[in-house]
Amino acid sequence: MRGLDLELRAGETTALLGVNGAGKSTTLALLCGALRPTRGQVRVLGMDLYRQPRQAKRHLGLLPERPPLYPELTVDENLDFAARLRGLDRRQAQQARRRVKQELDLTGFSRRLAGRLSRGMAQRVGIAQALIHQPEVVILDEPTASLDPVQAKSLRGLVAALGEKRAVLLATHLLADVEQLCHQVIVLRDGQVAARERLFDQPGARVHLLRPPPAEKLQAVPGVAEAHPQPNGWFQLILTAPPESALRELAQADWGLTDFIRGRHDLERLTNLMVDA
Amino acid sequence: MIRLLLRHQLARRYATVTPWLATAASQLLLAWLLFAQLEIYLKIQPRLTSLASTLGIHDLVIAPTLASTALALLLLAPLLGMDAIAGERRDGRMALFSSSPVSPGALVLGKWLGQLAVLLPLLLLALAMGLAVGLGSHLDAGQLAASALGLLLTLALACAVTLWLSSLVEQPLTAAALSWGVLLLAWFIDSSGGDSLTTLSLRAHLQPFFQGLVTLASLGWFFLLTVATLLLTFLQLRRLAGSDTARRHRLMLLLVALATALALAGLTRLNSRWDWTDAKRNTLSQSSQAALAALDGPVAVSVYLENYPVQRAAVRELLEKYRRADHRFSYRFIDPKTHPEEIRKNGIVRTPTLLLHAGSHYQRVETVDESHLTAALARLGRKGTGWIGALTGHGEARLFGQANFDLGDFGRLLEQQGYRVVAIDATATGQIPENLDLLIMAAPATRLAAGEIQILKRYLDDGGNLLWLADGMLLPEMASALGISFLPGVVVDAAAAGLGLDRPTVAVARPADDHPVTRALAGPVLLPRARAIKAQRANGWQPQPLLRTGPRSWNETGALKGAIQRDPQVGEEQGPLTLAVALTRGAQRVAVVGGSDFLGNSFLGNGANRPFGLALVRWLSGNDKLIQVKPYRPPDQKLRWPHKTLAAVAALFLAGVPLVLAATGLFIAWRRRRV
Repeated sequence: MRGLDLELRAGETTALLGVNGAGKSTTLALLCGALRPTRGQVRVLGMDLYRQPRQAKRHLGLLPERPPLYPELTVDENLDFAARLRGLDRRQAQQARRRVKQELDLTGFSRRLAGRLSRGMAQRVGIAQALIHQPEVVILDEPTASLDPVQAKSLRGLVAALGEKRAVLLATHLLADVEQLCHQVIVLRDGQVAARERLFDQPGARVHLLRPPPAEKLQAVPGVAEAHPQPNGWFQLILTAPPESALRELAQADWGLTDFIRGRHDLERLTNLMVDA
Repeated sequence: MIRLLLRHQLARRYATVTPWLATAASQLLLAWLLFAQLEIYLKIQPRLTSLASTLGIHDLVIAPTLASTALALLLLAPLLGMDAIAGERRDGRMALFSSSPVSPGALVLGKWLGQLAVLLPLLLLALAMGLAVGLGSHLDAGQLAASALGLLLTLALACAVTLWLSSLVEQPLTAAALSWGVLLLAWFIDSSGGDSLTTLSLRAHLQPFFQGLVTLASLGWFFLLTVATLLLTFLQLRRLAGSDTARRHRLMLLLVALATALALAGLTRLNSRWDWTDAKRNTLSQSSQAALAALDGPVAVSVYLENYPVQRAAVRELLEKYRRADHRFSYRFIDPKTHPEEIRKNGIVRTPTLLLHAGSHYQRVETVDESHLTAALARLGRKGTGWIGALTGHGEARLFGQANFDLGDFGRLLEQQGYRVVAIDATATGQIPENLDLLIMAAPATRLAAGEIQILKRYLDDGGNLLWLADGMLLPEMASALGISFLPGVVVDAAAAGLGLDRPTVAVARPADDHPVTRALAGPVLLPRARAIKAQRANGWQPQPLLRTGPRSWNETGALKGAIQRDPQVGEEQGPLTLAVALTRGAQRVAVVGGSDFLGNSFLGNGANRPFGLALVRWLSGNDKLIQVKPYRPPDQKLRWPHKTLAAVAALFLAGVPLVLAATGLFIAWRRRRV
């Protein structure tokens, strides 16, 4: 990894996007202290992760790509161990276990062996392990990969809820995850940051103009809140009104409108950035 | 955190059926071994008692079972601990630890102690069996405690090695295979017999614990290797976490390896040891330690003994005490069946025989106990200080002469034994030197002058020791002073023909079994042209016969040609006739033998002549003094249990415990999977 500069904020979910081998897992390993960088630092709530690892890691929750469960132990035993490992005492661990099971709808599985859980359920227990000590920062590595659509949808709901209060970093190669869950996206390619974009909650569109005006002129169009120029005559627009009114105004202007693609951000461009197309 | 990891490891393992079944199967096997050995022991026990063996139930039953337990632990440690780190890596669970406030040190210690705790029940069960059988005979709590310590150290090392190798790979099976390879190599490395490999041998360092002996060197060996492997695991975890660069990691590995090698080399200099046995049976007596300390070089012992495990174990136990007390002492077993040339060359006629070599000197021990061995060592330590004078000037048989009748070979033998032999010409010196340990008067051919007789008498009066090989010119004044007389003629013995000798003038003399000189002799002494001796108390001398002929002998006074027969009219007496006599007066010792040819160059190798001559000189020069060491008799040689009790104990460990373990494991596994 080179030149990675990243800030996670509470209440914000950040996607780490990249194809396999782009450096997502390495980045996560660096951020949770499993690997130490040759240069640079990681701070968690102001604490240096490598100089004060014990204090800093108490505020970190990690769900690796495969949930770190012991198949021969029950769900409760797995959660208890994770809680105690994060520094909770026996009583705190029991309370935390009850709370997190309720939050993640795991109460019926207390004595089920982890090795007998479905993949989706195992992911839930993995998230429960990551959240059991109520960390401020949650790191999720491909949480929906290899889940069926129903399980993936359910899990996305969980992650979305997490992102409301905590700082969440989500490593994924699935654009659907990014689109539905994230406020910011960092695209990794060959161990470097290829792009860094903020995603918006308002409706948006992507337009192509043969004779593009300055961005300020586009922002003056009724129904358009922001216009972000992109190469080759493309613009990402943030709209304040339904797209139809903006489309009407743009078509009437003499800017040579050729494309108008509805969507709040440019997923296709992100895909291209991932593979350097 | 370490305690949490320990408990977690324990809970994980015993949540599955594998460790329960593995422990049950191992327990069954070990119990079977123990009771099979106990059965064999009970069969040979009467023989052991009659042989005054120093081995008891602990040595022959409990210790071998505990050694098998150690081997079982070496096999089970990798089986149950192979995934300690490799499994976490393979299943992606290392992230759980790396994202938690757990230091690599705590992780290593927690996992190691957890593995140790998983296998502890098997160790405790083996000790419980030893304890039970010990209670049935005589429990040596110290010896059992030392054995427990040895097993615990072995387990600790096995777990540490497994943990380290488990941290190097991602596949638990690969870790297990590597661990088995390393641990079994360490166990069997000294099987080839190379002494240099003993330093690396786990078995060699464990064995003393089973004998109740705790040595600082062995403690250090286990501690050092366990700490070193734990340190390597720690470094590997840091490497995996990227905390150390590749260069720094290599440097640290090199440092650990160097420090371990240096410390291992230093361990050989540690001599502190603690004998935990009740009877302090592993500790040499003060006299033996002093005899070892007096040696000025290494002593190599050749033990001529057939490959009988029980007999060799008893000899080994004795020799090990010396080896442990002084690293200059070494020994090797030689099977007479496979080394006939060596047997012939060294004149070994019975087993066990020990030849102690120190430089060009050697000593022979045929009664293997601490008293005789230490006495032989003391003799080796005294080399150069035992002075023997050989009277000359009257045509005596010379102690360095080459003629058939000379005693050259015997003289060289004495020098090999550490004596210094000097010629004494009483006429020239006017006296016999006071510092002589023994004066040998070997068959003077001419009459001694009156002055010389006086010198000899004064020597005796001053307490000097004398070996008189009475041949050639007899000295009536000397004989009278000692209270002996010689029968006329030469002894002829019909028993010689029975030994294939064609000369009746060779007397076949049986050694007396009530004198230290002749007690250990294995056969007859053959004396050619011997004179019979009569002895009586005189001048304070106490005579005691050493050699006597059989009833088919007499002293022939006639010509030794053609058919001969005894003629009582001319004073020919029928055997048994005394041919050698020992005389004592307080601490002073004299021996008179009716002839010198039996020690001559042409006859020394016949019968028990050589050992008799050596024993005679040893006794006369005061080198026969045995070190008084109280013989050890193991208190646990008899099993006190009636048959019913033994059967109940056997059933408990052979069936009860394994069944309960297996049933518990199966029940737990079934119950946990049911939900």
